[in-house]
Amino acid sequence: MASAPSRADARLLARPPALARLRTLAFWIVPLVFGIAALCLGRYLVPPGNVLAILASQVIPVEPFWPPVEETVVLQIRLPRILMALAIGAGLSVSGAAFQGLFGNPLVSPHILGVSSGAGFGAAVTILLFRQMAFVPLGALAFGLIAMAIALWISRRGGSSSLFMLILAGVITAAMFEALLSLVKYLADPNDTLPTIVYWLMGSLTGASWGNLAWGLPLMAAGIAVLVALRWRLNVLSLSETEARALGADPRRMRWVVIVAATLVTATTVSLAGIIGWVGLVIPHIARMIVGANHQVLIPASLSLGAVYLLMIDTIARTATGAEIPLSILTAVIGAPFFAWLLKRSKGGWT
Amino acid sequence: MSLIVENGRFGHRADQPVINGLNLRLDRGEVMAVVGPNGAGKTTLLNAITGMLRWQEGRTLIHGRPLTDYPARELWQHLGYVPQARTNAFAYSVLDMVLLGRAAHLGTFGRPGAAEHQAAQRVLDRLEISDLAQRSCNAISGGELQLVFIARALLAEPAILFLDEPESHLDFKKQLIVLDIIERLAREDGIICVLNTHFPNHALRIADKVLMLSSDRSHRFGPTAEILTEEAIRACFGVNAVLSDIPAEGRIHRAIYPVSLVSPDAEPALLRAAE
Repeated sequence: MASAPSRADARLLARPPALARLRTLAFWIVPLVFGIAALCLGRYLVPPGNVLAILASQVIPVEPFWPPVEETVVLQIRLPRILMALAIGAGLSVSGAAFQGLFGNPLVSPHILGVSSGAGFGAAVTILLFRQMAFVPLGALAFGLIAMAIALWISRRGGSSSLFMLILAGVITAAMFEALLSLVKYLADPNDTLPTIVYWLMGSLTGASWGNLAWGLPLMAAGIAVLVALRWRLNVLSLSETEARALGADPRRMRWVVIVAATLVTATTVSLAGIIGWVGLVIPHIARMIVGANHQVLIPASLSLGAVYLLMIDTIARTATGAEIPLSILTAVIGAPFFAWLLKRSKGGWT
Repeated sequence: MSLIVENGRFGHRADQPVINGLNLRLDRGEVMAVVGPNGAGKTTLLNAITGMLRWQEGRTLIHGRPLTDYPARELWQHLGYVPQARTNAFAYSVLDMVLLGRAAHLGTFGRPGAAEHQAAQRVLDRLEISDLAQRSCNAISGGELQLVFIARALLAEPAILFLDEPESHLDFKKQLIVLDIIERLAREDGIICVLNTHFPNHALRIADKVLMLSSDRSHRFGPTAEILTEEAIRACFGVNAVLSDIPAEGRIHRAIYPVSLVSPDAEPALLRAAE
């Protein structure tokens, strides 16, 4: 039993530094490359050189050699939308990964606590009452957070709440707000307000602007930062309660922190872009196939992959046809066959 | 280094104690086996001793200091817990799983670094499972997974190790491997080991002390040879058993063989006799 060096030593020590650094680099570079590519694409094509020069001109003085309209398209229309797609994709997928880890269940999505239903209801009510889109994100965010508070309140029993109670509370909250949402749809004007509500609920980034980014990005960044900082701890939380406690964690308190952070992110994404399904459920799985189950790597991988995925989807949504295609349709129509193909190939053997 | 329970009483309902008036003391390097029939409360007992469940009366002392005085993270730097081997929803690699054993030592935002990787490597080497390091915990055998959980607990460098039926579902060879490891941890490292087991023979093999729990909520605690007698087995398990000494490889192995079920008519008399 003396520590004789074995074959595993070499593998163990050789693996982390080089490969991990390369992987981390890829997590940053891939979204960047896709982001720049997306800046070129659209109804109005902008050459990559011009895009880079326009971006550079914001930091260093560059003699403008591009038509002014290109600058407007790139900086005012595409850049905020692309940043938002990256942030929302990253946010949904990271909170999905965190929820899956927390519940020790790979079938959980960030919409589990009824937050999205609450936010959807909030948005619908705002559209019904004010008839303009400017207040919609605030209404959605407010009701998303209210839904979270209700779910957490229902699940609390004697100062603590079990995961099972939490899921039930989420189901109850979601059912409640779904019903209220149906009521709002029923009351809405079928020629004007109703289509707006329905379209909004299917998810879209048409509302992207620097103004919305200014408040949405910090909220998402704060939640994501907490989840990234706790990423190794998520492994401990994914074990049974007894095991987690025996590893010195305070699972109850940590669970709160993770839930609040992930919910804040989810609620913000719904407020900004409506209910985008599929990303938070499936991107963590694809990330797991690539980097394995360890949340220390899985969280950054989900972040990067989710950002790239939603950016790709949104770029297709705004370029494929004259009219915008709702995101939830595309995420599933493109994502589902791809995921099915991955599952077939890996024989489900990544868990 | 010591583990003391003073006057422990616990029940899931206040008026129905599973365990009552428990007093025990274990010192450095001692192994205690908890034996008893199904449903006698072995797992509950472990949870009560380790503070996962709160004693209704009495207390646990770790190194002379009440367990409840320890902050959670500090407590689990002294205690290690090895659950029954069960697969997880996520397929962590063996190395990743073992590294989690360091959680109590790392801060909330801490992550394992080079020192933790080296410590994990040492523990894996010691348990002779280094070859498994990059394998998925869900793709190895139950016995190997049990060793992984032991390795994870050892990474916290505990003074006291609790094992919940560590050899229950293992074949003969794996049983011996696990038992030998527990024995070595106690003898070589001075770790106090407390294990639940379904096998009185395993208690006879490695335990210095035995805590025997009965379905009637009584218990006995003491040196293994005094507690694991034919009469006690009969009273506790309802099985007529024979103790015998088996000489092999220059050592005398004490073993107990279950011969027959105690017939229902004879039971009351035997129970009285045993008391």
